Amino acid sequence: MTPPISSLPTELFLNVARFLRHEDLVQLMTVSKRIHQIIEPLLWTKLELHRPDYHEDHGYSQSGSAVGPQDRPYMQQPPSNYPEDEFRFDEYYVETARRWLKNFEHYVEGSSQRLERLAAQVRWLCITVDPYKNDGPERDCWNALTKFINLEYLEVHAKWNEWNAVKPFDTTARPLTKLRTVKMRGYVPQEFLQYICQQPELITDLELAILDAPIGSILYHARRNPPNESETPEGYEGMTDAEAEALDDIEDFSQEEIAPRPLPWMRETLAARFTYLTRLWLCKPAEPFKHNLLSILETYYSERSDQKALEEWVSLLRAARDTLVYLTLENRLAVRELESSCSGSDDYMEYYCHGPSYERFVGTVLPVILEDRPWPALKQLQLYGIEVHGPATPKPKRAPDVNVKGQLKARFPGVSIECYLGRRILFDPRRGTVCNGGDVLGWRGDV
Amino acid sequence: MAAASTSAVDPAKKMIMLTTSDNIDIKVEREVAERSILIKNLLEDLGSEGDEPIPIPNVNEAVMKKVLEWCEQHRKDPPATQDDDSDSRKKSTDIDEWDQKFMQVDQEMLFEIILAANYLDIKALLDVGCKTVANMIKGKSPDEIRKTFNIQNDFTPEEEDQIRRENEWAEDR
Repeated sequence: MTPPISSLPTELFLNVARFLRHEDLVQLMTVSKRIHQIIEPLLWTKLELHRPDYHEDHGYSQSGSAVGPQDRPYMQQPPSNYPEDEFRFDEYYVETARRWLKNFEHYVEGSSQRLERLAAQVRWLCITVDPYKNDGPERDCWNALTKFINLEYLEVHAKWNEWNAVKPFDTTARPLTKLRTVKMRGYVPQEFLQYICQQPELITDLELAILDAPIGSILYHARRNPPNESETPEGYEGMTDAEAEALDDIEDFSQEEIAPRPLPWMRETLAARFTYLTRLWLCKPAEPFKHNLLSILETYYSERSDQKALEEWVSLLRAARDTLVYLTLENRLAVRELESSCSGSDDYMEYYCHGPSYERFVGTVLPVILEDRPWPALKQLQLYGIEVHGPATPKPKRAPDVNVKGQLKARFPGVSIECYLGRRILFDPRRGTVCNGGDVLGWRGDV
Repeated sequence: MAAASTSAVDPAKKMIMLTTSDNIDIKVEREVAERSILIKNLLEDLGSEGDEPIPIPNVNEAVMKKVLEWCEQHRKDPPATQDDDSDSRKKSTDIDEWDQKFMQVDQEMLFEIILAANYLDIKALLDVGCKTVANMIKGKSPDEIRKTFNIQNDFTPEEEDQIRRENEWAEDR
């Protein structure tokens, strides 16, 4: 006798699967060949290797751009052994993502047809890449990502791991030609970024928030000062002008602590090719306003990285001007972990966001947006942490001189211009790394 | 809109006739039958007063009666909107008490109700049915699932093992 369940057509079987959790689907998959055939694409087409409410917590509800492929084809509920401890929420999934990715790290092309077939099924991937290795072979996470040849959507949040020994990225890997959405945050290696963005003409949705390797505190044994840069010679005597200029460009990393730095990685020639973007989100750490000498002595914010990142923004904006519909620019205040309790308030954010990074934004990016050139498709322009006009406090405490919002409103009458407080990046002053939960850029719950 | 508000009889209470696949006529109040979007649309399209029996060729008498029992109980439920449909679907497999009792039927009937709810386009009933099946799967091992639904294992142990390895990352630890 045929079992009654076999009367269910595939479509209705999928309807049942929507009410099942990931872990149940895995059990169900091995029941029979027919069921395996139905369930496998559910698990492998759209992979979101983070907790179910990740996007709600780490994106901005106002902005569609920070939201990933949320619509899961199965029940969005954590597994039954989901940790109660809130601190471990994200760790649990980071570990799951690590185990998942490891499957693809150590097989040579052609040696495992099954894994290749599985990798080819993946169209959407949202993953936290943590290069941590507790045992087993050297991690090869970046090369592993090139095996997902049919990716259309790739969202990567890369953690920093100071003990990591990751295999160098093989830049000759086959390009991912179906990629349309690229969202990269955190400590993603430059070579990988260049690989992912090698066909900028195909990408329509781009989010970038890339961090440079942390330097940390001079008092901490793990400090990794960039070579040569911290040594400033005595004076300019006997130098050519060019040499003197190069010297001016060198930053002094001898200060006690170095805040997280944005990583400007994109050459102008590459940025200029992003001519089909409809959605762009750019975010970087920002230097807060400093009101006393003490904090200046403690923490150094790299002026050069900040300025270079803004110049990258400018190149991208110029390239994408014709097609951009949604534009989000974000300065995320970088605050020492020790100041976390006082820095979470709206007042703090309002007061401190008008610092050097704000001034550099006004001097570098704003004029380009305001240029007398058309933005034919632009519908929405959102600024986070740049100039604060929160609903609760229509007038900023430390009134900025510029009135960015007013200028933009006058320039783009038909466009929705929004300014939000945004979030902050908490960093560990000893290591210079971002203190993160699931989002490599920082804390949740303090919009 | 077909409903005539001036009529003496409340159009919602008006009886209509359904003919099941086994040629049985079932009389039912229009409002109850209209839980089925298929029947609702048919009645609107026909524009008839509902005097003609409506053929339901895919559902037999036993199943139809069971479905109508559910419709009667839920006759006053607000219609599901497209939005909360996709939302509530994923949130839980909770089923209210009456529906749970209602679904205590043999598997043959359970799957027939699901098929009928799908055919008659009764979203809420379809979901109750699918949730019931999902609850029968939840937390079970592959062997227990096979036993529950009387499914033959057509994998070799090696194949089964392979699939388990590929998806090990998603399993419980």
